[in-house]
Amino acid sequence: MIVRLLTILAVLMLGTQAIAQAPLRLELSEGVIEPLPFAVPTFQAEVAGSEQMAADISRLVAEDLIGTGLFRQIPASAFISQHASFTQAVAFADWRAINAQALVTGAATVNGAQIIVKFRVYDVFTGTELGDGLQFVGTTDSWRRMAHKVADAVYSRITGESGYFDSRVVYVSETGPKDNRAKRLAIMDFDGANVQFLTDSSAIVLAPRFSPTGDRVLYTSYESGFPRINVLDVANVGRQQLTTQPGEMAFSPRFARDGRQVIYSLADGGNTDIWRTDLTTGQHSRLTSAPSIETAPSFSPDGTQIVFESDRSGNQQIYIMPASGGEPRRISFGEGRYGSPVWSPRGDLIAFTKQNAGRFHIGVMRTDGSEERLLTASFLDEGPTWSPNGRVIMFSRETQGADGASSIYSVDITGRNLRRLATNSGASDPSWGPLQP
Amino acid sequence: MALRLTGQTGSNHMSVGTTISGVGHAALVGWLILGWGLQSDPLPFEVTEVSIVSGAQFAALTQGVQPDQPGATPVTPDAPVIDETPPAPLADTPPEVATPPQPVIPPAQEDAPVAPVLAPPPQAEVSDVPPEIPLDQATIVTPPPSTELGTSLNPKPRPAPRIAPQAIAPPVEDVAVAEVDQTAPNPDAEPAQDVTEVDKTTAQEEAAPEIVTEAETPAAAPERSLRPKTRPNRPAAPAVDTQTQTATAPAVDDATSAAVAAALAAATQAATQAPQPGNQGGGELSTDAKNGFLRQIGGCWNVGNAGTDVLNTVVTVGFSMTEDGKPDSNSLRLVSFTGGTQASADIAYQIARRAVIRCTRDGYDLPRDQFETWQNIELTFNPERMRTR
Repeated sequence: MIVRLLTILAVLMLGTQAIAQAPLRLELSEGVIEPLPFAVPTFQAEVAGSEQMAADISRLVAEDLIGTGLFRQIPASAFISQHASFTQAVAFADWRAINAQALVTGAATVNGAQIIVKFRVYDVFTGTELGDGLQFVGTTDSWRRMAHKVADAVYSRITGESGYFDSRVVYVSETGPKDNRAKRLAIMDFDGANVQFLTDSSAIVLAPRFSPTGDRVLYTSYESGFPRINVLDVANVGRQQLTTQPGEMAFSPRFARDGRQVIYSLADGGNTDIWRTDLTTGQHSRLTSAPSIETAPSFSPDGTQIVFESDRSGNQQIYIMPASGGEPRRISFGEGRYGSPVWSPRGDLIAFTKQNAGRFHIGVMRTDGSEERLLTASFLDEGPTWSPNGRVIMFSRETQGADGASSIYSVDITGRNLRRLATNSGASDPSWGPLQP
Repeated sequence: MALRLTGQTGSNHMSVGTTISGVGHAALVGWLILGWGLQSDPLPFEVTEVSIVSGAQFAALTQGVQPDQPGATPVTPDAPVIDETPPAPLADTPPEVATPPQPVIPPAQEDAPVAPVLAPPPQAEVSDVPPEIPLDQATIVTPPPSTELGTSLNPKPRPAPRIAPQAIAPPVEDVAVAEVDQTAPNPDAEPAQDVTEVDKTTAQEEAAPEIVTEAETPAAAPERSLRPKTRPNRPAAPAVDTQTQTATAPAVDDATSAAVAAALAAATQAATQAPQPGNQGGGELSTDAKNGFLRQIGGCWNVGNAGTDVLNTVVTVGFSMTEDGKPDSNSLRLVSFTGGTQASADIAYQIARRAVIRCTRDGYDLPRDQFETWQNIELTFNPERMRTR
């Protein structure tokens, strides 16, 4: 009896003690959304003659991060301590004092045509390094790519998702007046640098699309007077016409994720349907057969489904069907017309062009059509394409009037950070390629 | 025989029928000719007099009317609107989609408006000679500092039911309110000639020069409220007289039960005793204190640079606090996470850890007398609401 009572007493005492020391549990659901203040001191030149390259690389790293709209650079004039050596310990108190929350330090070494870039990323307020230091080796000609790779790594370590800086965009370069505009295929870095032309302006070209590996480009050419699909090898600029199912017009092509299949629209006898061609076997498959216009197909990331636009309901809307064809499912039900759908590389969203009340919009919706959000509004916005990480959408915008011109813009999927890409001439129909190896 | 008789009878019947038919027809024809029985009123109709005019007269009548010019382009009738839309929509069952969101208005990147040509403003005449300041300017005297906390030095208009350009003092009691001021006649004074007789004194209704609403904060209101005082201690449980119980204990079990009861009472008292100021006690944290603490950390919880996966990850971070309201940075740890991968949880934990440490320069505003309550904290960072912004 005594033992039992003492046991009860002990348990009660222990319980009381536990209650007294139980942690206070709270939930926080309201924070802030603002760019992260960061500092990038000029990279250290480890050997003489590397100063300019070190400065250029650190500047480009900062520009890449600022361009996302997620970061805010603290100017060097506010620095308390200058990071003299790459191996030197970081005085976190000095960086906390100027409210730098992230710090990127680095060094560059130029040896003839070779360049070595290394960097570290720190969380200032916790005084810890985010990941380990990393080093890239390349040539001086490719210093921009090396800076983009550093920025990608920094971006990834802070945000938790991969970057998109070391990537390229294929697009249609436009020159001349609106009624006699010359169009050429061109390729450039994601920030508009390093423009290279892939075709001349002898024939109208439209809608280039990168292959998943970025080594080939599909595009529509009017070289023969009728729209035909060509495949272009980016490395040697060699091109050949894609053998499709015979028809009057073939257009709006897009690669499958494995790069071995191509889906496109084929117009024949007044009807337009979606077809698929296997590049390895040359077999053609008809995926739709409705007496309406089906076009702009785009594969889902896993390759099991296709999103496309159709006017079978009497109005241009977005549908999803199995990759092998079959009964489509309509997912857009809002007012206006929906077109040019593109599946996000993350698989969770579909970007589209919407025309309503005389305005064009770029928007996103979930794959079931819910949570539609319009990100832009303009006289003419069209042709969205996703960044490799699915965070940013690029599209072309044309200004109103007889002298209206096309430009390429980018916008975050939150609708923030709308930016115009710096191009030397008019530009339209962008297709964002993958991260380069 | 029978046939013949029948034939004779039929012949007689035919001549009778022919006769009747002939008479009938003759009567009908005669009736129609004579018109007997068909007299009826004529149908009503309108008669309009028509006069014949000549060509010259017609031209004079139609003067001013512009006939169509020969060779003029005929007006093309409006083409019928053809609905070229395909047949009725297929049986698509729309899912329940929320009201389409309002388009996100991007920063102005479109055509910039043409700036109007602005005429340069007239140049002011500039003189190096400073203007003369009149000596009789009013001198600004700084009022002495008030010794009363929260009392405004600025005069406040009195609230009044009537607004007038000039403030009017409240009338004296027992004076009637009227549109004009007037004085009651003094019976001792001599009556003035041609003066309107006034039977009583009146005054204008009280008025203020501006509207003073009740919503305005009184000038003497305290600027901040005091923190509620801690709950007073509960009365201590009466001390157990063990000696008496021991003396009167008839059996061992009873004594043990009494000891256990006393211990239980002591334990219960320890668990429920209110904290003493400066005693670092516990007790439930008030809602205001919790919300204030969450607001402080929330101001430093920046998810603006978080990736999509990170924004789908809910992390719970545990840490210990020091008595001055600062978290022990070495005690920060990831307790658990839901809704994401380990990689996204690591990033979410980094952001949460940064938030806890960043906002602690002066210590969190937590009641120091309840240190035991917030000595150990497990804080869940749920970015669900932040995703939709």
